[in-house]
Amino acid sequence: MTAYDAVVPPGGRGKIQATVGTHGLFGGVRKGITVSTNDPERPSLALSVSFVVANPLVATPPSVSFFVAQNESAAPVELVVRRADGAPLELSDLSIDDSAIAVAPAPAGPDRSEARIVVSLKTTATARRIQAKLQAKTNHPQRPLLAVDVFGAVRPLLWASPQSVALPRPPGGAETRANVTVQNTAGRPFRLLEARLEGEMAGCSASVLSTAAASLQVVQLTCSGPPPDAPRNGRLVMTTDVPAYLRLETSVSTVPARP
Amino acid sequence: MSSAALLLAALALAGAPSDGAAAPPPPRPVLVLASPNVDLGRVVEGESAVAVFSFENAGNADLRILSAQPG
Repeated sequence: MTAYDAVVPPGGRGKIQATVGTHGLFGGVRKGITVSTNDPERPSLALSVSFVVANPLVATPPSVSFFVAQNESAAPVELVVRRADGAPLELSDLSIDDSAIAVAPAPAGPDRSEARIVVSLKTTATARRIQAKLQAKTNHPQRPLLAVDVFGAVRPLLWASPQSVALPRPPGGAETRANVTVQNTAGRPFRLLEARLEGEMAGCSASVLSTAAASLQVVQLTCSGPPPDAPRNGRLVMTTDVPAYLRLETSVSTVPARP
Repeated sequence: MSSAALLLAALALAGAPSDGAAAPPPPRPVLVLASPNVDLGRVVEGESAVAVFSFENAGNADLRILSAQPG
């Protein structure tokens, strides 16, 4: 919206006022204004207004993330929420839409415009992706609801990749190979005690490349000899020395390859 | 022709430019803008802010602002 002095006599001064709204904006903003005049040298001029739109409620950090191995504990995150106008901040009805995550108010500091929330991931969280939203009611008239994203993943402690393997079987019976890696997502060393193929896996074998403890182990699958006349399905079964993961499985198939 | 008409004709001739003399420029407005850009700094989302552009008419005719539109 603009307002201006329409007629300014010789030697006089005037103003053009531009009122800018900031609803729904965030960060650096630049707005232009085009002015038409009866000055023959400047019949049109371009004006600009720049500003930085700040959130009325600032959460630090702006989002919370947890990336953790299953059954591992993750450090709680303290979220500091602050009113940009410096007025006292009150939060109520704190909640989160994921039962594996706990949220609780933390003691407020001397600055009453700040509120603190502790966000923690329960160690009982199952292996999965985390995508949750923390919410709280606030006393800010323009931002009555605070929403903060909480994301991340609880990974299985041992993770085999890929989860399925397709091995081509060329007509001449040439050897084909593929690798399956098993990672300890907590970075701790472990051993693969055995790797074997079960199912319709004739002509194929599995072997653990290293018997030493490491956070990453590799199983090599090898197939050779006459190919099957049709795709065959089986599975790679691995045994480990990690108590909760004594047995891991990955699906394996063999596919006759075209000459 | 009356004496009054003769007097008016004489005055008109006296006021007319003589051959070769430059005509005075027509009066015109001259807009002098303090700055075409205004930085409002930090604004809290949801609030409005007002930018003021000051200008002066350094000419010898009325300056008219015909329009001021976003864009």
